[in-house]
Amino acid sequence: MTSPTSQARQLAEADLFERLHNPEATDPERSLIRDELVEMHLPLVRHIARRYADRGEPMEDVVQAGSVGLIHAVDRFDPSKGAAFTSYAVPTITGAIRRHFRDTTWALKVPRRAQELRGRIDQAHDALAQELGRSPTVAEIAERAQVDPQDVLDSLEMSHARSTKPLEPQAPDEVPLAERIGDLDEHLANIEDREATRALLAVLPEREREIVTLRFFDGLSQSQIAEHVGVSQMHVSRLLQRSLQRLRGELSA
Amino acid sequence: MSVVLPGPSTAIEVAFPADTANMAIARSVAAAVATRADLTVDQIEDVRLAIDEATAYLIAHASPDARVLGRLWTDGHTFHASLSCATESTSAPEPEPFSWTVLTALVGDIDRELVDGELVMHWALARDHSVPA
Repeated sequence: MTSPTSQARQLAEADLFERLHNPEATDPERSLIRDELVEMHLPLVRHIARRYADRGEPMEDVVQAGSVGLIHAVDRFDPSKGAAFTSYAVPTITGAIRRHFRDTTWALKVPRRAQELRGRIDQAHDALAQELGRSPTVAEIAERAQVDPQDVLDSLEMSHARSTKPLEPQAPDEVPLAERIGDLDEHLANIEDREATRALLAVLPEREREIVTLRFFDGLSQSQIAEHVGVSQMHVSRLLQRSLQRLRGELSA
Repeated sequence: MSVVLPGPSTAIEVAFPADTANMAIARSVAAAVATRADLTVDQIEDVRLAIDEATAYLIAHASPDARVLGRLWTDGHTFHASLSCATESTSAPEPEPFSWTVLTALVGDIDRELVDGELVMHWALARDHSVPA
């Protein structure tokens, strides 16, 4: 990406890392810079987290796991090596999210054979990762656990299918769950990140800003807002939608 | 299908309607193919994520009723994915920045072009046993 905005972002980012590693920086300064770097890249964490949306884990937990990865990435990134921060951060974030999934248990009951197999495969995986200092291959796990490589693959596949609610429609007229995981959820997740959002809200006209604040910070319903502001509920709905669209544009800019 | 995707005759092909609901299928097939390159488990996860990002890009710009076609193969210890989908765009559309950040961080360089009304992309992931767990 070489758009002017992303170039500006990269410059700002490089500057922040330089200041973070400046030996003359004071601890409070470092902590502020670190926070800023983390906040700057939270949208990236949310983007990655959404890719794991269909695995039956609460989205905020996945975002949190990814954010921990992001913090580690900010702390460990060495700008003097010349690589871009994001190419370092993405694997760290995905790694943290994967560990989160490995460490949490299934929400659904699986057949005993699959459970036992999974136990052996997990054990082999963890032991090999420790010994090799890297992620093992399917073949290595199969050999250690003395199972068929296909079983290892199946087990990996199962770890992606822990949700208890099928995403596909179960009846021809049913709205697929995947479609009901609406856009609004994403906006809400964005909006929960207050610090970043407050700054963003500045781009909205005053009335829109008030409506968004009432809806997402004060938790008023659309009808309550309509009464408060003196417009129809339909109009509130339209204004909210338009504002969120605009905010989304700002976030991905 | 007006575009012939590259890849050896041993490549696995998947084709599905350009709808995000089908991404899980492409992901699973790609993961199965990727094990042939003896990638690490983490790298297979990278392949899944990369397929998600790549197909999401194609689907976002697909023309109505278009199908995503994927050719997936391994060449020694490298996994390759060539993907295409018909589009109404007149030039290869700019991808969503986060999506592209993630994809390039995972697989490095990505070829992306518009050929005869089809958006075509290719990328590869080589086995890397040096990455710490």
